[in-house]
Amino acid sequence: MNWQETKDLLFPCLPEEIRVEMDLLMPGELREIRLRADRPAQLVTCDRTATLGWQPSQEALETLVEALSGHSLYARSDETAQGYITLPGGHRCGLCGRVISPEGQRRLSRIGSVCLRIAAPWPGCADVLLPHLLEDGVVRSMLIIGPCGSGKTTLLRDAARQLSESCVQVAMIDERGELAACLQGVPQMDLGPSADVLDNCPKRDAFPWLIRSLSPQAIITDELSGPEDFACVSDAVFSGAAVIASIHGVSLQDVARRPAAAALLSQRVFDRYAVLDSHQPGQIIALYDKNGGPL
Amino acid sequence: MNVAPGPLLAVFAGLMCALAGFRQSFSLESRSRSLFRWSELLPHLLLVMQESGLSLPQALRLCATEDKSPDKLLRDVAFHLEQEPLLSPGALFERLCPRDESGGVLTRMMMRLGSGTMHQRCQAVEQATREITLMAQSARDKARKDASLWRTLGLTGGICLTLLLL
Repeated sequence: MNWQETKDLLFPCLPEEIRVEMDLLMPGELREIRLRADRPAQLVTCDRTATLGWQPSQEALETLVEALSGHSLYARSDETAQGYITLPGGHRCGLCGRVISPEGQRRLSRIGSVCLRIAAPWPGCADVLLPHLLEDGVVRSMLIIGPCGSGKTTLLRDAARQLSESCVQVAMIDERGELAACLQGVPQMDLGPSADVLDNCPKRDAFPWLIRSLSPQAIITDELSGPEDFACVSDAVFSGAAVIASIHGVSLQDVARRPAAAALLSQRVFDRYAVLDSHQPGQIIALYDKNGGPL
Repeated sequence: MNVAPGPLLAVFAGLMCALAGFRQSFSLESRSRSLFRWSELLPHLLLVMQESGLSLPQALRLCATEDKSPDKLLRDVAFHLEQEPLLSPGALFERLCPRDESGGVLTRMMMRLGSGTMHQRCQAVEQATREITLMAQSARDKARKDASLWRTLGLTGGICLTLLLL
């Protein structure tokens, strides 16, 4: 979705004050619109945060979210319970407020803050990785290591797109809806012609599902965390599918110190490791082979 | 050729009287048909909302497929909700249908469809369905009983008035 389409989508739901500010911005400049009840609205761009004169009331915030969801908030309780709704084009409306849990089912009862994150695909950011992912027509497993905000998800998404465009059958596990930004099961991000997405499904269920039903050449997922996730990856790789995944960390050594991950590393499950820069999003600072030797 | 205005006036008055009777009869039947259609539409809407995961405008459009006035009204609400998403369904319904023939039941339901959980919104539709179904039954009985009476009254009154004036 380009900037004009984004504006066409959001403008009917936003007040005049925000629309005027947005009109002054260049395509790709806006990152977030932050709205808090009875607090001034903020527009976050690549290099600054602009505070506006408009202060939404709590009712105005709820009306705005209802409008952004296309009056479908009632049907999207699974998303709101996780604190977001996905909008067309992959934009994401993060929600915050009062959470209640009647009968053990957590839900957001009143909305106090909204963070509207504008999706900004970065086509080509995985160019550097592609020769290491696809060698002689064979897809290699890769673990992408980086701290928060280092661009792991964006990199994975672009890697998925490029592999998919190279006719590799890609399956994506999008547990938190961040990779493909599905709206009613349809990815809003460009993932190329050969990608399938299993949305909102835990990894422990998703890996066997995909292997059984889609026989993918590559499975892409983000944020491996517990021993259960690592066991799934191991199973998938030894079942014949390459796994491209991301993990929080600042270096390979850092990741190897975590017991569950160390087992995975010692089994040589991944063929390649890529480490991202913590200061420059999307920048790869180190590449390692399956033995941990630099490439 | 000159026609005396007296007889013409008498015929005209008779016609008007008959028309008034027919109009009253038509209005009773029309209200009954409309309420009956609402009583069909609302359970369908409830089912679509619960099962389909569609947005409210999509759900309204999916239910309102016929060429009857309640269907047209729901399609209008759906269209305007998409054009002006910051407006609530209740406010839109009030704007598009200032004379709510259900005595406010539908307006209240639309107000409640604008916010809350799935459960709360479905409750609003269920409650409106119960009330509208009762209204539709009573309107149908009333129409059956009174519509022909109004037609006969209008016609008889018209003839009598014409004869009296002649």
